[in-house]
Amino acid sequence: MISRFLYRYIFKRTSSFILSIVVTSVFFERAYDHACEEIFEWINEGRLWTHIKHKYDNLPQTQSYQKRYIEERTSDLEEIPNEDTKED
Amino acid sequence: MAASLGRVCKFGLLKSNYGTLFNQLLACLGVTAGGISALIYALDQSVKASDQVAHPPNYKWGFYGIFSSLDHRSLRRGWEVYKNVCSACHSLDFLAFRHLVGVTHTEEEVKAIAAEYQVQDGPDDTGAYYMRPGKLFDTIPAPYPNEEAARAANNGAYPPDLTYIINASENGENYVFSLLTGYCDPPAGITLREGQYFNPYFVNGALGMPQIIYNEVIEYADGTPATASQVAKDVVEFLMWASNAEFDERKKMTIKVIGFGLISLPLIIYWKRVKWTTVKNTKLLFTPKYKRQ
Ligand code: HEC
Repeated sequence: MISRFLYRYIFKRTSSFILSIVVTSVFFERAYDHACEEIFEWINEGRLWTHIKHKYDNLPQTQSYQKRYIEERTSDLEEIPNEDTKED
Repeated sequence: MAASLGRVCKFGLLKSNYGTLFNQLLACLGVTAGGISALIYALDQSVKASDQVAHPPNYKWGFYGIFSSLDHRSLRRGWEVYKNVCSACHSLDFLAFRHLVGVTHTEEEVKAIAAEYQVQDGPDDTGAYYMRPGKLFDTIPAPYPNEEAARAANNGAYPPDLTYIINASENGENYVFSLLTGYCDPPAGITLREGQYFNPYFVNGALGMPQIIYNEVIEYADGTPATASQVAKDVVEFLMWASNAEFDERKKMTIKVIGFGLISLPLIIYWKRVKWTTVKNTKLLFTPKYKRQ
């Protein structure tokens, strides 16, 4: 059933075969790169610039909407120093 | 097996006098090349006990794992060390401020760092050169205008550019770390000239660079205790990045290549089996022709 479908619409004609190769490689490459990036960041947790950037990056225009929303509403709260969040 | 091989190679492989002169030459060449490589490897593995220099130990760097990146917290501190300590004598000519963006500092921070330096620019409308604050695209200004000035200020010794120092010296990261932390009193019989300091990791021991890394030599902005080994480790990791800017990219590529290899291995095995089934299932029959009587 599925193989008949594949054959009729993809493999039978060279044009559709090539087109399917191009389309799948676009999506496959995107997904594969993303997955490898995730693995890399998971292995090197805390060591990469993406993991420490937030400590130095406090510009309002680069903050996400949610973060700005939270900060605007919590800026008048008193800050309590927390031992756990101190850098090692 | 012999039959299938014979079918593929048209019996060429099964003939006894197959080795032509060319093939024999090629084999000789291969054996010679292999032998020379083995010899070079063996020589490189020798004990090296005859040189008058201490060999640095191999430390357990965090970036040694096959998938391990550089530690960017350490890189950030390493830049602090370079800027506050090494930049008094050493240049970093092949690095521009913009290279630091997204590696150790944010763009705004690097702009602020660059603006602290004065760089020469020009000519302006009247043809004169003038000084202006540094911009992102400037290379990091050197402490001395030229080599002669550097030598004159350091008793004739030339502080080398540090950008590629890790790649330029053998076992770079361990060597520079050991050099920075390895100063000690000279043993008996070694005399040092004025402006020379004893360091067992430097060839001949007499180094033109004084010991500059001590405990608390600088104070880190992130509060890390600045012990001598911590300072040396951070600056070496920073110089590792300066020499190998694509370091993290390479480690990421390792993951991609191994992963893609694992995906394509079953496909290649399957493809090979498909292609070989006809060969392997072919039966050769020999039917002798009898003469009709
Ligand atoms: C007082 C000036 C001065 C400072 C500060 C300084 N150096 Fe040097 N450095 C020198 C001189 C001079 C030489 C050349 C020594 C020679 O060739 O005898 C040198 C040589 C070197 C070498 C090369 C050694 C070799 O194998 O030829 C390295 C690596 C080095 N320095 C690293 C550093 C690092 C890293 C720092 C910062 C922590 C630093 N230096 C700070 C003056 C300095």
